[in-house]
Amino acid sequence: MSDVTPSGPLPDPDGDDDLSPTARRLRDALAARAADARPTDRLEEIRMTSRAARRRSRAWSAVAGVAAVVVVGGGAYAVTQRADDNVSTVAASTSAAPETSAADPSSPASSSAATSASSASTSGATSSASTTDAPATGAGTGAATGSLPSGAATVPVYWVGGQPARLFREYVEAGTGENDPTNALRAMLAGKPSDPDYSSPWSADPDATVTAGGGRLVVDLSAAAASGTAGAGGAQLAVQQLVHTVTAAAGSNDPVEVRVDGRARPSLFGTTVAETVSRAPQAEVQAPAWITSVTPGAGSVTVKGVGTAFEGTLLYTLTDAAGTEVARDAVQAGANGTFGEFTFTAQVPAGTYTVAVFAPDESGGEAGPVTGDTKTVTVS
Amino acid sequence: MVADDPRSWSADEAVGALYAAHWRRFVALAASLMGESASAEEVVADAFVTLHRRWDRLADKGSAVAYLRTSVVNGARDVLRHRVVADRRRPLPDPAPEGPEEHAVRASEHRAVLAALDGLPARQREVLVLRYQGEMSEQDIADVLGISRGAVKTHAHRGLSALREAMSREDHQ
Repeated sequence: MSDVTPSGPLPDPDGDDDLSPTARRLRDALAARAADARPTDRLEEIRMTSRAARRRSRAWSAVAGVAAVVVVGGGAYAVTQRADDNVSTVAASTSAAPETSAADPSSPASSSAATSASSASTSGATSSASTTDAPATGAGTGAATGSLPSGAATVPVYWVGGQPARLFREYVEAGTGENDPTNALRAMLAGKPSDPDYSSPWSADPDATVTAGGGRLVVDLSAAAASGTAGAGGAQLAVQQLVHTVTAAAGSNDPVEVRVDGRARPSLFGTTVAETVSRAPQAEVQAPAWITSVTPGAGSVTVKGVGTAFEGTLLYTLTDAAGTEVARDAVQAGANGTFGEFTFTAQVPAGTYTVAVFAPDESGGEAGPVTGDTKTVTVS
Repeated sequence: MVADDPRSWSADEAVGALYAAHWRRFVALAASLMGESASAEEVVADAFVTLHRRWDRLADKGSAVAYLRTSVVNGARDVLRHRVVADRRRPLPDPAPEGPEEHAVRASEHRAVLAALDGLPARQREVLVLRYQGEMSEQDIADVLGISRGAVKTHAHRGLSALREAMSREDHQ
């Protein structure tokens, strides 16, 4: 190899004339590999993360002072679109770094981890609004088989709520378990949702663990964790609650194997569980509307969330402390099985209100009640 | 429809338009820089989120692609810096194996040169990837890597020489 520094410019990749055979071969090989790359579509996830970052920066101070407000993270469904095996690539040390000037692109690598890490700490609200779910794996453990993300301050936990019962998600403070999915699992089993409308059929098991291996996530529980009752049809939703929780915290779509006291294919809540269980389709298990933030303003309240409805139209109501409906309107979310963000602002006088968002009943009542999400907010 | 002029775009529109045009190629670029593809999507997704966050304060929106590319390169290098060396080079998946024989022959040539590329010292590999995949100018490469233009030339030259040697060894076997 020569140490002589060439004096001319680098060969122009577009001007084949000047390109050496080696350079051309390299360029063609790189182009072929790039052409064969089939990255996952993550636009929706990028959008959700971006919006969540904005929402935090604009609305956080308003939210902070109001104890009645419950904020849950937005955009969990983005998680379901994540590729398997992915890893947060941003060094965990970037937390809460002040943003640098927009004109300076020299250090933009510290993006989402910084924004998510800086969120919840300022508030009495129950959760971070991190939508990345992206488990910071201490910089660079790579995506080796068997590795699970760890170190997240908050972890996603799914709860059961509504009638018919569906899944809702909150973020809760992570415990001291070995990895994020284990922390999420233990929090789910412990069962303390922030929203009193949510519940969980599981029982606490502080020794439950999640490990990864062989392309699956393995959940180990004690029989005591599933000693309660889940009601009719509740067993499958309970298993989906568990599967959603650990996969969200793992940032993975891998199937989940549940073992009870070491035994595979256990019976949970009276139903035998398959060897592995994957996430069921969103529309079957996820509540049609989640309220992810409620922000009181001067004489108004702004509500954001995620939902889906026939033709995308959800309904919302505000009910005052006396039970009188003071506002009702439609709001656009995702249509026909796709989940999309919604936001609306209602003008109301000072007072405490219950905000409800739900999918309208398209069946003329035949389908029975519809599951909505409600939050309480005080407007001053 | 989004107007063609980036200066008229909202942050959402900018991310949408730039994603449509550049997502795949930036993921491929990040994968080449890192020598593996698992983290590449994360790096590029982060770059888009950063762009969205700073969009309103971005002085020169016409340079958004360059800004994004810089973010991707920095993000990829940041990951590499924090990664244990032994863990660094997980192979990229081979190009699609199916197809006519000619494609297979070419694919094998490609594999050889890419394997040689992966064996180069990090700086040489970065310069070659940025030049021949990222199609960046010498000056842009110097800026993003924080080295002089002369150093860019030197690394490119040495890298190509090493590839040529590796190829000729391969051809004579």
